Order: sequence, then C-alpha cells, then structure tokens
Amino acid sequence: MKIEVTHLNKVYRGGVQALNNVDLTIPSGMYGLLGPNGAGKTTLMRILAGILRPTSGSIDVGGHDGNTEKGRTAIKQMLGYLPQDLGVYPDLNAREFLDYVGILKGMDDRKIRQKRVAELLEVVSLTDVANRKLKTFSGGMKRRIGIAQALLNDPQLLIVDEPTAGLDPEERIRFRNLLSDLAGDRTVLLSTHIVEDIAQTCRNLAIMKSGQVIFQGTTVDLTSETRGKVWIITTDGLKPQGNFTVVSTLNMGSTVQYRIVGELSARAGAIETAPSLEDGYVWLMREQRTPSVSVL
Amino acid sequence: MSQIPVFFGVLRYEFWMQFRRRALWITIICFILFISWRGFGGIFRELIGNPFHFQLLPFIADWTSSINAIFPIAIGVLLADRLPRDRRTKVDELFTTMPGKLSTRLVGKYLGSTLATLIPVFAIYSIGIGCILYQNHDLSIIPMALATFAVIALPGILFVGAFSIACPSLLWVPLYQFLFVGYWFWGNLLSPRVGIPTLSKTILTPIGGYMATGFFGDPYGQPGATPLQGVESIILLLGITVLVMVTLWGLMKWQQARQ
Repeated sequence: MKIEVTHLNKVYRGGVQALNNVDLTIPSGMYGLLGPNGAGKTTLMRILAGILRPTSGSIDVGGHDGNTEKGRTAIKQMLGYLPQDLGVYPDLNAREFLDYVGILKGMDDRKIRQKRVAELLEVVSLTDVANRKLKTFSGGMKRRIGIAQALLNDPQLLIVDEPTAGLDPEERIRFRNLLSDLAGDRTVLLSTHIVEDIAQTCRNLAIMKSGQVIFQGTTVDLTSETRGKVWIITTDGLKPQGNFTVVSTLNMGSTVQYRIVGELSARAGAIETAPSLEDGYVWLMREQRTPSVSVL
Repeated sequence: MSQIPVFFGVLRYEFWMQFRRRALWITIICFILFISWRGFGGIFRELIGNPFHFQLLPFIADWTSSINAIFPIAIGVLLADRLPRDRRTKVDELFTTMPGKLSTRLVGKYLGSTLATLIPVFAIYSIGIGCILYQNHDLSIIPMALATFAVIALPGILFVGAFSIACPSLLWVPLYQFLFVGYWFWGNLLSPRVGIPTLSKTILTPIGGYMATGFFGDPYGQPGATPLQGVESIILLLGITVLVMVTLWGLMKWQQARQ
C-alpha cells in the first residue's frame, strides 16, 4: 500500500510551522522517518493517523483521501498506531485493555477477539502478566502492550513513533526484529531519531529537518553520498581539529581513534573508511547547516 | 463497521472501570455516614420504625425522593473525572486513531459510568425497600419501588450524569465538583421562601418532586403538582440531557478539527 503526501503544511496555533510543504511517497515495506527532535516527524505521523488535521496539502493512503471524513474512517480501519507516549487505562489489566482496543477497532466477534489478544500477548511475551494491572507495568512492558494493540486488527498500515525509546538494548533488538518480520506486504512507517533502528530495519527512508523533507531515498543512497568523506584518525588523545564532525570516539588504551565525517584532502594519519548510515545522516545534517564545503 | 458492538463494549468497560473504583465506594459510604449522622428528613427513622400507618405508594415515593435529594451529589462528583481522565492518560489520542466513532464512545462512556455509579445508590435504595417489604409482606412493593425509582430518580440522575460528563471538558474537575455541589444545594434544596432566586421547586429541578407528587401522591414532593407537570419535568430533564450530550459531541469534534 502506497502513501502519498503532497504539499503538506501544518501550522499550529501561535504560528509555529511544524510541517513546511512536505512531499513524500512511501511504498510498501518498512519505511524510516529520521530526523532530530522537533523535525516534524511526530506531527506528520499524527496527521497520517488522523489525530491532527493538516493546514493544507493532500494525503492519499492506499487510495483513500486523508482530508475527508470518509477517507479518514477508511484509513482508520486499516491502521495500527503506536504513539510515542502510549495512553492506557492504568486500572485495566493487559488482557482487558487489549480487548477494549479490539472492540474499538471493530473486532465484533468476542471469541476471535480474545484469541487474537492471547496470540499477541504471546508475541510480545506478556502472557504471564496478562492479568496484571497496567499501572504496575514497566516502560518496556507498556511499549510491548503498545505494539500488541497496534497489531490487533492486523493492519495494512502500521505507524510507530519512536518505538524503541526507553527500551533496554535487548528489548530494542527484539522490537526491531518484530517490526521487520511484520513488514511483509504491509507498510510500516517507523519514526525515530535513532539511526541504528533505521539501519537495521528499513530499505527506504526520509530525513526531516525543521518541518521539511531533506532527503528521500534508500539507505544505500544515503550511505553512498558519504563515500570518500568518512575517515579514521588515530591520535594519542588529542582531539583532531578541523572542519569536520566527529561521529564517534574509540578509546584504544594509549591512543584514541576518531571517526570523522568531512571533506579532507590528504592528511597524515587519516585513513578513509567505508561509510555507515549514521555517517550519511551526519553528513546530510552537516550539509544542511553549512552548505559550502571547505577543505582542511 | 457497525457501531452497536462498539457501544456495548465501551459501556461494559466504562461500567467496570467505574464500578471497581475505590473512590466510588468510599464516597458513598461517607454519604451514608453523613446522612445517618444528620438523620436526613426523618424518613430513615420512619423506615426502620413502623411504616404500616403510611399509604404504601406515597411512602415509597417519599423514600425515592429522599434518596434522590442527596445521592445525585455523589453521582455528579464521581462522574466528573471520566472524560478528563481520557485526556490525562492520553488514551483519547490513541482511540481517535480507531474506527469506533467519538459519538459511540461518548454515549457508551456516559451510560456505562452513570450506571456503575448508580449501583451503590440503588443498593442503599433497595435496603430501604427491603425494610418496607419486611414489615408489610406485600410483594407489589417491588414493582412499585422500581417504578418510583425509574420515574422520580432516573431522569434527574441522567441529567446530572450528562452535565458531569460534559462540563469538565471545559472546566477544571475540582472546580466543576465545587460548583456542582453549590448548584445542588442552591437549585434543589434551597427553599424559594428564603428570598434568593433559585431553580428549586421548578420543573427544571432534577430532584423529582413533580414526579413524586404528580404520579405517586407523595405529599412532601411538590405539593399541588399534577401528572402533566410530572411528564413535563421528565421531558425537560431528558431533553436537556440529550442536548448536553449532543453539544459535548459537537464541541469535541470541533476541538479535534482545530488540532
């Protein structure tokens, strides 16, 4: 299912422009939406989920017009949404909450609904605590309840906003794998500011900054743009100075290895290395800040 | 997608969430203690006394009116947080993304939580009816009691419930609860003879005096009230209830569209 967003604008009361003329085409499969905090990712997600109305522009989700009541209703029927901050009724237990969500998603048959709830509790490994009140759940457990509720109606479109925030490394990996498995023939829109989450799961991505889409393409495209611009510099501890960005620092004992992104001419001790998606992202963000490239 | 299963599902869960709420039972117990201490209206003493010398139907109507004079305060206060709670817990945002319609959810929430709040009140009412039944050994008391409750108390309780669900969408919950308690004493229990303008003793009052006297001959309800005035009062209370709920739905749709 394809999503097409055209000339989308969102201006909040008070004049804050959260989205500025966004054009985006999202194909089936996993699609990453990357950007710093405040880039407009959540606003875009909330508009696609029908929570917010755009100020102007059009939204087409699988042939349904997101600007009409009829279209929004049709989109909601094939949507699974995991918000950044999941709301739950603290006094319901996990099973009851999922059952309630199932009812709101139009799963009328009680037996089928209960079976689906049990299946998803198993998928997210919460069967053992299914009868515990949600107010006793940890952040990670709530996240898992969140993904379970999003999947209840077997949605064709799954929108997940910062799903791995607050998860421990093991849970994060589990979650990423789960999302990848789910992608299949459905569209999974994954919003995050964690590059690694996208690198591990998505083939296509868009990068947003200040309410605009500044990159749209494949992860390979983004990585390729940085080819020849990623270097390793090893020093005895002194941080290298110059017109580049340090992506990571690795303490090697007596020396320190710096991974940097920038246009360097030949420099002693600098070894060119293969770029990663994170390097591509850093390069793009750097380009946005300083479009003119200077040479060290 | 049919909204009927959604309505019953929301009603069921809203009912259980309210019914299992500790505050509901604590508040009702506090009210019982307060009433026991004050000996409210003397009817409680009469119930455990000897109600043989009373005419049965007016006496039951008076018992219903007594319950309906004070317990709707608890009902109004306890329902006030139901809608703001959805915003506070952020479930409203999640539910907006689902195909269950806002109108269905609102009506389910309103009826489910009002019914749950009514249960302890009805239980206290039933204890009184049980006392009358025990002393009179007349099973016709049961249908009489159900009829008086449905006609005298229910329209007012639905009226109070609608305002308590709707108003906190605009007002801070504690402020609404404070104003509601003030309204109850001013608009229902204050005698017009005091000289302060009041809704008390008009057909707009949810206390049910016009129905108690007009239909069941309760001498303490609204002396001189006719059955027609009782019907007018019921229609007015239920009409306003519907109007409040429709206005709430319109307001929430408008708020959603402005987001």
